[in-house]
This record gives sequence, structure tokens and C-alpha cells, in this order.
Amino acid sequence: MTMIDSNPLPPEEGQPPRYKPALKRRYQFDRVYATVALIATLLGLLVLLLLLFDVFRDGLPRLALNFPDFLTSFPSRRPLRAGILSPLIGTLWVLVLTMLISIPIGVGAGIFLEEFATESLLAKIIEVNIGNLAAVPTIIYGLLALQVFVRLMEPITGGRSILSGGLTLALLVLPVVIVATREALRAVPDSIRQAGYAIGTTRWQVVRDHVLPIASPGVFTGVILALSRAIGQAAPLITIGALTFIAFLPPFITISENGVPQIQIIDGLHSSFTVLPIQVYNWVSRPQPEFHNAAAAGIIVLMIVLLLMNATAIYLRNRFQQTRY
Amino acid sequence: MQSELSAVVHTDILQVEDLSVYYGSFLALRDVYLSIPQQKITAFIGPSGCGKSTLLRCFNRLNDFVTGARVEGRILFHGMNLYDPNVDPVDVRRRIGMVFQKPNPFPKSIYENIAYGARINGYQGNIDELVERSLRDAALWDEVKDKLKQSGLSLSGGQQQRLCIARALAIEPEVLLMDEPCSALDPISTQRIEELMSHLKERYTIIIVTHNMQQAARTSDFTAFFNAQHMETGERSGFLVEYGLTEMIFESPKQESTQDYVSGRFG
Repeated sequence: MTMIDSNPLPPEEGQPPRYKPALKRRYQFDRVYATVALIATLLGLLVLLLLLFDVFRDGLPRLALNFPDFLTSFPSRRPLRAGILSPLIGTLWVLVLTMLISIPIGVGAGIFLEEFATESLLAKIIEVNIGNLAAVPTIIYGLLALQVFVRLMEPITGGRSILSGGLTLALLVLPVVIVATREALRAVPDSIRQAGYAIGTTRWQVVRDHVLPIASPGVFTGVILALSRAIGQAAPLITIGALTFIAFLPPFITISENGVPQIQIIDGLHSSFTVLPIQVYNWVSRPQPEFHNAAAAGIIVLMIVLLLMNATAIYLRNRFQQTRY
Repeated sequence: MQSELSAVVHTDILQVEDLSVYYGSFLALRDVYLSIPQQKITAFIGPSGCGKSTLLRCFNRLNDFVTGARVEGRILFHGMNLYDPNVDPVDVRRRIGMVFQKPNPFPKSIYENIAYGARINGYQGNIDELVERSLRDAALWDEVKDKLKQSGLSLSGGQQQRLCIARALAIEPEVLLMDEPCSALDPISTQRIEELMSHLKERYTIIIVTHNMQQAARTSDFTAFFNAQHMETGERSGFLVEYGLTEMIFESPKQESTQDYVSGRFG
């Protein structure tokens, strides 16, 4: 922003002047609003930095104390031996399941609503309701999941299992994925669709070959943001009965007696589980300060998982953008 | 009107019979009768909102995608009504190609822009040859033959529009619809497209919508002048005023409004 002290242009003809630009005063307003905006930004950043500082001060020594044992041991009632292996693996498995369930359904629903559904009353009703679903408190999803996935569908899901957890979080992120998909599709210029139709392409071919490739970075971003929201959730998973103390891993892969690894999808999906936010919550509510440090270390691990996810998303997005010319 | 046309020996590839187009309850274009001669260039001129683009988009049924659009009357293509329930619009669009106002190449390679339509429509010949032939027909081959793998978006605006023409030609249509194809281009690119059109009419029937009256006068064999009229409802709906040989429309039109429009007194 530059300040102009004197007007370098020659004075206008005609007396009295019909314009009073009052440039000085207008520039002052500019500066005031720029400063207010800067302070608002810095305040947000400051709070975040304080939080990070606090977490790192408590958690980093604990993480460094017996690295990498903290990552490779199970929770324990002795604070200094307590590790985070089962919640970490639990979080990753739940995340994978959530992705596998929510991406096909959410992206598919988004494509249907944006590209195929005509502007009918039904489509309008669905649209409004998806918007509302995105705003429903997560614990409500937990209660719904408890009844539907844990109780009614127990023969399929195995009750309080990792599969129920994945389904619950998938339910939670679905509205966000649908809305993000629709917005990414809407941002694709209509001229591309018209170009496709004009050379004898069907609707689905236009979507598959032209619209989706252009929209995919936006879809990706939306999905990752939604999953980031899901990964920090404790409430709905506590509601469906995720345990707070798990000293085993879901038996997706076991080594049989003669040393051959076996993949057991069903047993794995039906296994009990816990996730990082639940473990952190559990440790924070213990009286011993050593557990509080463990909680801080758990938060750091959770943040690293989140950062890795987001980094992957950005990497994939950039790659897609490059290969689509 | 009919007498002038029958004086010239030609076959009509498209016949519009009593066509009216509605968007919802709004009558955009009403009661059009028109015959498009084969292997000629027909220009649609007229002020904004007169329905000329609407009519163009009826020929390849692109209006099907507009919510609430409804077509009454018939358009005969080789004697078959394009709006017959048995006619597949996707098949229509392969036979009647289109070039748009703004160049809209796919964000894919130059090669892929051309090859895509052929492949999706089950082209049986050699695709490499088809790409070269289409680009040559669109007078773009020499400029892009060494960079077929580059993005279509890396070309200049005029080149992009010729790429779009090549893309339309690659599916070997009989009719080429052009919706103000030069309005986003500079005069040099415009001239190249006009030269190209005069070559293409040896093999294709071309219908061009244009706001540029010199362009209509320079390039077309036949001209249709459309105008818009206030209805009792207060909406403006388009209709066909006059249709005939281009020289006739520009030099001795029968209607006063045509005379006013082509001499630049309004529009």
C-alpha cells in the first residue's frame, strides 16, 4: 500500500473543484481495516501456537523417553510403560474402512444429484436434508449407529466391532463428501459438458471422461477434509462401545503355527477396537501426571497422522492436476 | 420466399416445419418454417434474443439438456423427424456436429481431443490417420503436428477454435452447426476460420449463427433474418422474418425490418 502525499497531476480546471477525492482519509481507512484483519489472523494463529507449544512441552519428552516403544507397546496401567500401538492401528483401520465405505457412496450420490437428477421436488428435498445432516451433532450419529449397526445388524457387523466403527464414521462424513463432490462438479464449466454432448457422447461418458477428471482434485480435497474431521471423533465411537483398554491388534493377519501368514478379513472386521482420541481421553481423565504426558504424546501422534493424510491429499491433487494437462 | 429458393437447384438436408420452442412457459421462438440446403452455408442473423441460437441448438437436440425446454413442430433430417421418439439424440449429435462460441477444447492432449469422439462412437478405421486428416481439414495440422501430445489448452484462441472444428469433423458429421464461432477471436483468426468454412462446404452443410453482418454477407449462400417481438404477455419472442439468398437479403430485402437491420439502423 502506497501513500500519496501530494497529487502529482496538474490541478483540474474550473472553480470550485467538483470532486473532493479526500485520498488521505480513504487511505487511512484502508490501513485501519488491513490492521484489523491482520490482528484477527494473528489471534487465531497465536492460540494455535500456544496449544501446540503446550502439547509439545508435555508430550515430546514422553515420546522421546522410550522411543519408539511408545508407538509399539500396548496401553498399560503403569503410566511409564503405557504405549499407543492398539489405538494407532485401530485409528488407521477405522480410517481405511471409513474411506472404503464413504467414498463410493458419497461421490456416487454427489454425481447423481449434480449430473443426473433433474430439478425435481425429490431432488430438492434430498438436497436440503443432506445440508441438515452435515450439521447434526456427532453423538446423534453414535446413537443411531448403536441401534442400527451394533444391535440390528449384529450378525453382519459383529456388534461393537471395527466394522461398526467404520460404518459409523462413514455415516458421519457422508454428507460432507456429498456436498464437496457436488461443489467440485458444479465448478466444472458447462462448456466442457456441451463439447462432450456435441460429439455424440452419453451423459455418463461425459461425466466419466471429462467432468470427473477435472473435478477430482476438488473431490479429493473434500474427502480428505471430511476424513480429517472423522479421525478426531471420540463421542460417536464411545457411544457404539469402542473400548478404552485394548491390549491386542485386530487379527486381520495372523501367523499360523507353521509360520504361514493368514489373512482373516471377517475376524479382523469383527474385532473390538479403540482409537487415538478415545485413548487420549482416557489418559487425560487419570489422576497421575505421567498419564497426562502420555495423553499429550498421543495428541502429537494423532496430529502426525492427520498431517500425513493431508500431505498425501495435496500430493495426489498436484499429481492429478499435472497429468490432466 | 419459396420461389427464390426453388429457382436454385439443390437438395434440402434439414427442413424445419412449424417449429416453436418454449423454455417453461416462455415462448422463445415461434412458428418457424425453413429449409437448409445441402453443402451450402446458411447464416442466421438477428438481434440478441431473437431465437437464432435456440434454433441452432434444436438441430442437434442440445436443448434437451435445458430444464423446461420444449419443442413443438418438426425438424426433418433426410425426411426423418429429429424429435421422433424413436430417434436417439446421441446418434443425432454424431451426424450433426457443433462448434461453440467460445473455444472449448477438452483439457486433454491435442491428439486426444480429436481421437476421443471417434473412439467413443466406435470408429472402425485407423485413429492416427483420422487425427491427421481432421487436423488437416481444419487447417491446423502444420501448426500442431510436432506437439500432438501437448494440451489443447496450450494453443492460442484461434488455434483452439480450429481444434474444436477438427474435433467436430473427426466424427464425420453431415452438418456442422457453428454458434458465433468467431466472436471470441481476433480478425486474423476470424479470416482463417472463414476461409476454412468455404473449403468445408464442399463436403459439409454449414449453418452459422453470427452477429457480424459482414461475415454473413462474405461467407454464406443463404441468410435467415430473425427478429424478436413483444407479445401480449410482455415477453419478447423470436420469429423468422425473412429467408433467402444472401445477396437478396442484403441487397433487396422484402421486409423493412430486414433492410433496417442489414443496413445497421438497429440491432
